[in-house]
Amino acid sequence: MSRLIADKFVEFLGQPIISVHKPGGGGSLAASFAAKAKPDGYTILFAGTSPILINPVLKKTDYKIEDFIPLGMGGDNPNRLSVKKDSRWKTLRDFVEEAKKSPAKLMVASYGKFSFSHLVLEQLSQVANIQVTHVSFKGAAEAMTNLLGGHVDAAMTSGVAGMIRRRFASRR
Amino acid sequence: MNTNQRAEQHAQIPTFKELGYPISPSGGYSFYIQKDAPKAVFEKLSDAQKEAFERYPGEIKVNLLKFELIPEIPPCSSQEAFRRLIQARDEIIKTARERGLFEK
Repeated sequence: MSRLIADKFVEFLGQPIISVHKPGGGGSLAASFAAKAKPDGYTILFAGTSPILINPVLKKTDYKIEDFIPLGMGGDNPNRLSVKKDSRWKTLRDFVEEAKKSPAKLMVASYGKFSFSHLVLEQLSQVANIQVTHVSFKGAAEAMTNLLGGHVDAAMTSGVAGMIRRRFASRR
Repeated sequence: MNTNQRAEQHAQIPTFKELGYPISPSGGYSFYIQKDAPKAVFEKLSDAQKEAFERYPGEIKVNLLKFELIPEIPPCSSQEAFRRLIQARDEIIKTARERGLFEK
């Protein structure tokens, strides 16, 4: 994603931008790498919410949000609660009502423990006064695959999961 | 969906807020530089981003939509982005404390 956007900067910077993918630690490795790099503008970070906001709060990281300056924000990355199309819940209220009647019975996937999706699920549980069983997966794709496979009742995901939905839809 | 308003590409999906569940707004993607970077470096990169969004709003929007992001064109300022990030962080800390989620 960073490449798709950064490519548009090139003509205004007058030099190429090379995107380097540094996976691991929910984005923490990339953020740590960027935080330690020489602050000369030749190493910049492209990141979502988890590595910048959540990881320094909930996990042990060698950087904090104050180590960075955002260039501005051009895209919101919402989380959605999804269920299978043929599920018995037609609205969020249906889902919440069942969760209230059967505490901890409904299993909800996220794309990682302490990820933004996990936090949003915790917020929903808090404001709706429900208790669900959180099931952490290694990414949104895995969470959605398990939802489609019927291994969890719902999934709180963002971004990439929507692409999976589109791919499935395109096969029909 | 945890946004303040419905997304253009998913107009049929209601927000948590409108369903009566006030969940804090979502986060966003951004480019970041180190806090110690010289002001001139920040301005050069920031201006490049601004000009790119001004020159190619349609293409950037399409690219953001490909990743299911809700485009914000033109992008908000650095100060506004930082304000939002700090606000979101404070809400995350509050939730984490109340839900006993701290790993540290």
